[in-house]
This record gives sequence, C-alpha cells and structure tokens, in this order.
Amino acid sequence: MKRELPRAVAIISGASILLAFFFKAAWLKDASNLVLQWRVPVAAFALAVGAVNLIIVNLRNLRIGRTGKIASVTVIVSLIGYAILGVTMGSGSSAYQYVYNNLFRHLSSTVFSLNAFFIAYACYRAFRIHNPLSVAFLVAGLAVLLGRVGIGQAIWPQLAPISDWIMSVPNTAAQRGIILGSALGAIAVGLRIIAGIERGSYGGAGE
Amino acid sequence: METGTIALFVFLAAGLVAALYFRSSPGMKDTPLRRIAGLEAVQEAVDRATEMGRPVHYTLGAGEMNADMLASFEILKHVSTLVAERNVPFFVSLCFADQHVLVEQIVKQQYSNAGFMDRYDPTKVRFLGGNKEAYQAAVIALIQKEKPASCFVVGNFLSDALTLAETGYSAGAVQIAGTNAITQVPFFVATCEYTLIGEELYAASAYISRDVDRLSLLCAQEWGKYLLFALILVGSLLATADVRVLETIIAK
Repeated sequence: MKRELPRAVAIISGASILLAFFFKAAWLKDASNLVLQWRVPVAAFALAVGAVNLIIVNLRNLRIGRTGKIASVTVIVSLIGYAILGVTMGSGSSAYQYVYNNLFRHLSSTVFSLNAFFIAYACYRAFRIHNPLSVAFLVAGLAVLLGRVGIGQAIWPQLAPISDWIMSVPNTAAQRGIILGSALGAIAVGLRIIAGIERGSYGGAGE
Repeated sequence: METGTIALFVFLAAGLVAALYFRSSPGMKDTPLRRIAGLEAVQEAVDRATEMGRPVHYTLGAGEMNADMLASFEILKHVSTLVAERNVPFFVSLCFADQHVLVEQIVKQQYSNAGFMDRYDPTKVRFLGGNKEAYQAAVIALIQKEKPASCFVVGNFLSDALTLAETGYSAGAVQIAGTNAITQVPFFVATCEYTLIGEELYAASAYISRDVDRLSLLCAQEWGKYLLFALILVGSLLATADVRVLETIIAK
C-alpha cells in the first residue's frame, strides 16, 4: 500500500491531465482542473515541512557548536520574524514591504550580480587552445563577443553580421537538435510516470 | 481542438506501441547503449570522495519541478546507494520545499535498501529557502565550508548554474552536470568535467537500472527521433517545392 497508493495517485493525476488535453470532455476537464488545483495546498504543506527542516538544521548547528553560528541565528530569526510580521500585519503592510524592498531585493540583486564575475572567470578558463576544436571555440566566442559591442564594430564592421550569423545559424541548429532530443526524452519520462514504470520516490525495497 | 493534436496523439500512440514491441523482444535487457561519459563517471566521482575523505554534494537547481528533476532523481538514487555503501559524507542542497519532501524520501530509501540506515542523517538533505538567490548564496557557503570532492549538479537550472559550477570548481571538486535548460548547458560544458546534454539526462534511468521497461521506452524514443528527422527532411523538401500536404496532415 505504501508503494501502490502514491503510484496510483501519480497515474490518475497524470492520465487525467494528458487525456483532458486530447479529449474535450467536460468531466475530463473538471478532473484535470481539480488535480491542478491540488498543487497549491500540497506545495503549502511541503513549504511548511521545508521550513521546519531549515529550523532544525540551523538549531542543530547552534547546539553542536559548528562554524557559522551567526548565519544560523540570522536564518532562524529572519525566518520566524518575517513569518510573524506577514501573518500579523499582512503581506501588503508597509513594514512587510519595507523589509522586502529594502533588504530582500537588494540582497537578491547582490547575489545575482556575482554571475558577471563568474562568467568572466569561466570565459578566462574556457577560451584556451588545446586542440583544433578549442581554436574554433575561441574564434567563434570572440567573434560573438566583439560583434555584440560597439568597440568590436568599430574595429571591424563585419563582426556584427558574422556574430549574428553564428548565433542564428549554427547555434540555433545545435540548440534545436538538443531540444528535439530532450523533448522526446521528457515525453518518455512523463509516459513512464503515467504508466507506473517510473517509481522514483515511491520507495519500496529493491527499487 | 489545438493545431497538431491528432498528429501528436498518433505519434504518442505509435511510440507506446513501439515500446511494447521492443519490450517483447528477446534480449532487450542486453541492448547495447552508447557509452555516456557522465554516467560512467558517477562511481568514479564517489570513489574519489571516498579516497579523499571529503563529502559528495548533490543539487537539483533552482528551476521548477519538471522532467529534468524527475530524471535527476534516478541519478540521485544511484549516488545515494553508492555513498551509503562507502560511508561517504553526503549532503543535498534544495531550492524548493516540494523537492525536499521527495528527495528526503529517495535518499532515505536508498540508505535503507543498501542496509545502512544507521548512516543516514536526515539533516543532510537541506532545504535552503524558496528564493533562487538565497539558495545560491547558501550553496556557495556550504561548498566553501564542506569542500566536497565531487559535486553532482543535475536538474533544472536558471542563472544559478554557473554560480554553482564555478563554486564547485574553486573547491577542487570533480563535477558532473546535467540539464536541459538550453541556456545553461554552455556554462556547464565550460566549467564541469562531465555534462549530460539533452537526452543523455533522460537516458540515465535506463542506463543505470538496465530495466527492460525503461530500455524499451528508450528504444522507442530513438526511433521516434529518426521518424522526426525523416519528417523534417521530407517536409523541408516538400515545402521548398511548395507542396503543403505534409504540413496539412501534421496541423490537424
């Protein structure tokens, strides 16, 4: 029952949504909408479980004296404090919005901006000549980089059309080839779940 | 009815019939599969962590739950079994709470199946907050603190792909990546030792388990790909000659 019930729920849910796409019956559409609506409370309960896990892990870090105690205290205080603020004063309140707009968004932007430095460092490591293919990679990469900025076009005006050609022809062709294969793979994964073959997280001995 | 619905239904039905045919073929279990370097390297990566006495890190990315995540679960099961058997420290970083519930169950079950439930630590499957940037910052800190010997970066990624891969590289970890987020694949190819691209990620289930049902679906998937290639070629030639028969059929 421990394995069969989750598998049955997955099969029924997946099949109802798939069949509702192909067959325009009102009862199928209703079943499909009902399954999709169930996602919201399930996700809410999962969020609660995740929050408890976060608190337990950080409390454990504090109890056993691991490094990063300040970070653990910050996580616990901010998680519980912000949740209490939202519940008592509402997510539309000025206090809630103040914390979100003046703290959370700026912190998110800061972390996101790290990508610029990581991209530069990745380019530095990637654009190295080992073999003929890496030469082609270097030339194409430089052509696209320079072709997209003003100084590249000032150096050689033909860089822009070359850059556009690289992005629109070989790059698009490669992307479409990957997307084609992965789309079929995604269909296979979905069919495996609907057919009950993909047991995944249902557990059970020997699986 | 939307455009192409009938054609899609026929295509799916044909795929299922093909899968059933392959399943009934003798010797299906021994079907040779193309060597996928990333999947072959999973055991090597865990063995490296065992020898170095450093942990193994697994993450599924900050993207939404989709087929990439489900495919990643198969690799996670394999890695969990290996780390349980070798008693290697293991931690999993997750961005979303619904992933956390599933992943915890998977890891726990694999430890149980391997007979090493005493080695399982539920606090090692960590939910790091539902925000992508918070998750990125937490993973950076975790990797720099724990210094894993091997990182598995397999799932659905957004802009966090490069950050996680570069952090793993700076910690000296061997990295095996896999995603079908087409914009993130180049970052993984540039920064990771092994990358599972496109259908290689979805083939992991059949490749690792050698299960007959999964192998037969994989074979049907391959033939579906050949059929699509033929349709593209024929369709291109017909469209060049301004013959719209194929287009009309597929648009039904």
